[in-house]
Amino acid sequence: MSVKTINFKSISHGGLLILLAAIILAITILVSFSIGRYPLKILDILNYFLTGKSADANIATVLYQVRLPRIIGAVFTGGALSIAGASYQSMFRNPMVSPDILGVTSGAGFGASLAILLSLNMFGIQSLAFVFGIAAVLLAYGVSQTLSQNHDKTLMLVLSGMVVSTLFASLISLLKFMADTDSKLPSITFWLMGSLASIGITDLKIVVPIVLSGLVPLILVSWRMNVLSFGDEEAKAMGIHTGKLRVLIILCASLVTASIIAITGHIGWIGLIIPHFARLITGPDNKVLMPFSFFLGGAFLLIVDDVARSISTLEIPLGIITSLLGAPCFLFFLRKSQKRSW
Amino acid sequence: MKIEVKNADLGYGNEVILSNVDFEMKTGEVVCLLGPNGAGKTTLFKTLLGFLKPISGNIEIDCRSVKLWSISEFARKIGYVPQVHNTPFPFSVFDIVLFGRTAHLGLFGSPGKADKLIAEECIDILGIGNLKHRPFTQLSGGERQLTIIARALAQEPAFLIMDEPTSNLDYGNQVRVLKKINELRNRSLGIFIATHSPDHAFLLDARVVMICDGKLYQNGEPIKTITQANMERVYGVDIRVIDAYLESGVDRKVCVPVI
Repeated sequence: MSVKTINFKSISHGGLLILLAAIILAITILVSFSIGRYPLKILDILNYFLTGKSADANIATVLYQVRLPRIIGAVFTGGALSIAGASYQSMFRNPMVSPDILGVTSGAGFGASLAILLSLNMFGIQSLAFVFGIAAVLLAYGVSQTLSQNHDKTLMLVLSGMVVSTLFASLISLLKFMADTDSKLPSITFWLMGSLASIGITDLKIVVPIVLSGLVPLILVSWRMNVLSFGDEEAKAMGIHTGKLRVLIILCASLVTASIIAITGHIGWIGLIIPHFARLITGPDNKVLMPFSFFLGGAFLLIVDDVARSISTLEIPLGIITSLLGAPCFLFFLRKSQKRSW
Repeated sequence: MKIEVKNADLGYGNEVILSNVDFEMKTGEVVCLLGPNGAGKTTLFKTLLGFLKPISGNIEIDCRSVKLWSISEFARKIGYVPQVHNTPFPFSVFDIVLFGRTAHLGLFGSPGKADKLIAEECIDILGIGNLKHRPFTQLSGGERQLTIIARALAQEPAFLIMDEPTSNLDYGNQVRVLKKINELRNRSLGIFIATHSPDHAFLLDARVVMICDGKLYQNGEPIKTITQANMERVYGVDIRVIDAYLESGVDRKVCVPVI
């Protein structure tokens, strides 16, 4: 039993899984390019990408203007929410945690509702959603810091997150109550349901760099996140500055989630289910789990979005489909995961 | 290398639990910490591990105040073996032992070949090579404890601090873990064990530190410190310390409670 072969095997096993997930995502992307009101053949698309030529004069517009932003949006939304979820699950040592846990979703929802109520334009809605999303997390973190002198820090963080979420949820209800029922209330409701329909290239140019700046550090500290799973004191005794690491994870995950929610609205479940499901396949090592979750989450949301935009002429809000698909999937995985003893 | 606690008051916030603690421990020594529930064993432990700051006084490792040590520097000197417990995620034994290398890595680093070799070595020392690829969550209590000891060894510390390493273990596993601890003793490693069983001090031939009534009460060889009078004073029950004669000709003291 040489050490070398075992290490090589374990590395290549994880690498192989990541590669597999990447290939699945690539295929999903290709298929997604072909789906829509203006159907295209996959072979034509491949041919166009490879040679730059096509008999169809509209192909460039359809691919680059219409479908590409939406595909990038779906992949980044699904992928980023999954990584944020995986990070929080490690940090809170609980596989049932989602990126919403510190109130970023309710905060962003409140920001967006406020902007809609104030008749701000799209950019205003996105900005307020982002700002309030981050503000909610900072508030939860601040509250937990002042309360946690003699309490368990993680527990206080969860409780503060719950309080802040509830607070912003009631504020959203208040705004809905005050909103004009003919125009503004429907807009708020639709925003809260989540959609990728309005994502344009200009949104992505701002959001993708922000998302990446949050994702890269999260992936880089994935080894330390593994160690965190033994709890604060043990992680400290193993040389991890747990306070700083926690702040880093919270900041990055919130940055990612808030910027995504700002352009898509509330898309639930992804951040909870995908990392959970991914862990069943890859095992708990975050170094494999994180990239794997990204590709898997991206592919999943892309498929969901394909369904949302092609199932009927009227587009179905994404949040509804993710939940409808997510709830039974989640129960199924829960049943499976009991056998694997979390 | 040595750890020194110099005239320190220890406790939480402003509440002093142990006062005037003066205590020193060198590499190569095995020290057993005895004391009743709530006497402050955990407080002393957490202070030595850097989780609690002393209220007054000073703690020095290698003649340098612990205030000056960074968390990772600290972890390269002191390894912690907590009581057995479970984790929410099914990491393999090898992964978990590898966690011990964290203190030797950079912020964004992950373990390389050399780290993996060290982890392998520690797994061999503890004799748990057969468990290497098993998920920690499926191990027995004794196997988990050995894994955690291997993890602490992988930190390559000068001191191991063990918090009741045999609690929650069945009798066989208790003996197995004690045997391993005995095998681990060498000149470059100091082992500090909190335990509820005074017999452990005899078994490990360890120096005894006894705490009672918020003070360090006894500090010395087991034969001199674990006496009927001291046991009565510390635990409040009648315990006789008698000689046990083993077939091998080695005799040893044994505590026998009188009920």
